[in-house]
Amino acid sequence: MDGNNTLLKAEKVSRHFGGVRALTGVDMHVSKGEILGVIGPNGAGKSTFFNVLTGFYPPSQGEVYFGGKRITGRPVHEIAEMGITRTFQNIRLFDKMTVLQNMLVGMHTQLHTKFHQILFNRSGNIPEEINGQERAESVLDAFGLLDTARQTAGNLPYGKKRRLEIARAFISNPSLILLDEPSAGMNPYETIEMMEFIKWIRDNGPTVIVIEHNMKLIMGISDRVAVLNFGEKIADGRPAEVRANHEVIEAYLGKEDE
Amino acid sequence: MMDAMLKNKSRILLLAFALSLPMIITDEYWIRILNVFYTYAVVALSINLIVGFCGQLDMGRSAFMGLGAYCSAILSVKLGVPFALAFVLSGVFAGVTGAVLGFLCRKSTFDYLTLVTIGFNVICQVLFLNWIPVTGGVMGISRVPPPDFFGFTFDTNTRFYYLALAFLVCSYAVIRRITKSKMGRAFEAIRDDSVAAEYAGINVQYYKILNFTVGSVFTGLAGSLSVHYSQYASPFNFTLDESIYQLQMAILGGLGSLPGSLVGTFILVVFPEMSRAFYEYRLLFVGILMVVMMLYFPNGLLGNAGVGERLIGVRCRVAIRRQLKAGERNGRQ
Repeated sequence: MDGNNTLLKAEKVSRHFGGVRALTGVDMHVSKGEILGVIGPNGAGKSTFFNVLTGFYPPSQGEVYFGGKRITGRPVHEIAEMGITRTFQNIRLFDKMTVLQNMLVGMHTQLHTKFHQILFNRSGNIPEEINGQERAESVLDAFGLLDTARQTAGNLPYGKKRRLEIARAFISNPSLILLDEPSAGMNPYETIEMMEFIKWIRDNGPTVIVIEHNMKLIMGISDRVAVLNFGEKIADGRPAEVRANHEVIEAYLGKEDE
Repeated sequence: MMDAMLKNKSRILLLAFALSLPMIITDEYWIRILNVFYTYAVVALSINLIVGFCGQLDMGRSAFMGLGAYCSAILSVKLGVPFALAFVLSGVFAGVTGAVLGFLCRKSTFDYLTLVTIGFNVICQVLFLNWIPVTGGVMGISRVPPPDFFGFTFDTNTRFYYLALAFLVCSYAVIRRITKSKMGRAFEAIRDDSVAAEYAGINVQYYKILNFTVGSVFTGLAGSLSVHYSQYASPFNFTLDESIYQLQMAILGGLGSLPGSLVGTFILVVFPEMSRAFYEYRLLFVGILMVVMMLYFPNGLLGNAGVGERLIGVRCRVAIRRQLKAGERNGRQ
């Protein structure tokens, strides 16, 4: 593996909640431009792993490096500004705002309007706002949401909410997007659509880490798959290798009788 | 485009109407009430900015109004500072206090922040009542000079009317621009989902403090203006009851709607003045009003599903009924 190509590296990351060991000594690296799938049974620590990477919980032990810089213990908004964004297992949109406003909030770190500009200009006269709106509309178009731009986000149907959440993460020009169960609650057709979106995202810049329970999706799009079980990494490799791994089968299906 | 032009036209019309009001209304008493309405409207707008846009339930706004009022009164009565400077300084003072309180509460979530603001209001009340050498205690501070800009004194009700109107229009414009900007979107994002906001790169604590500061500046300025108008700073004007009444102005009009704050303030300031009896029972009246509103307009008069949308709904229903009737008639023929 090429060392310079590493985007994110987690070294022996552990996270304990009191006596509960959610993560123990997980090593993980992500190379630029790949799609890494993270799977594991319920409660294996996948979401905790995301929370540790993004600074929501600082790790109890271990270090996280992003683009060669140590980001362990940095606050969430700083890490987000450095270029890691995520979506959530239970969709978190700004429900009372419009779809377009949701996108503009996603662009928060890229708009540098100063306070005096706000005081002395209407929002329609600030060039950044206008450019931002144009860009938001073009991304909404790419995600097939342009016709809903003026709607209140909370009123969208479920599938569109998911897509909007991903679009909002994508618009901040991140170098890494973490997707937490993007196809949860979707029908097979929507799942296939989602697979296309994830590939499209990777092809348009950001590296992707995706947590999923849907094996078809994960095996179909991942370049590499990591498996967590009881907070430990038990396998890491190409999808075909992981599928054949004995420990992984055991974790999912239980031990075979002698 | 048409819509924007129409909006601009109606805005100019409204402003022209407001400017000509003192010529239509000759009764000094009503001009006085309108003046009170304008200053309180700014308070309601600042509450809307904090509670409606940023989702921080602040129940101690009148404390900041009091801080602005006392600051301005003390500066101009005891130190002889001219009105313009005292006005600005009282805004700064309230803003700084707001920033400090906001900093201390930066990690508090919803209900805890409410408790802190209630506590702060009570503390300020006690301070106004008991720090006699500075605040004058129960007696308050009297003989506060009327507003005066470089020799022009706003000493009559009509003169003050224009000053208060200008103050309201400027405050409204600034708060509106803030809410339409990146900053306003950050506030709304924090209100809707502070975790997701943090992940969008918004420094949630910083923006909460900023929100509290900006809101407090406007409340303080309104306090200063009101004290120069009534020419008397009384500790009983800045109680917790008063805060709740002000909060109701913002809620009645609709949180998150700036015109709503004006409407809410208008109803709660002007209606109780209609008659003395009405005034005596104003809390009863407001209580009933709030209950009725929760039933029919849960988001306030001009909030989501408020009067505007309701009217459109009624119009649609009428149109549908008419069409159905026409259909019946056709069927009979």
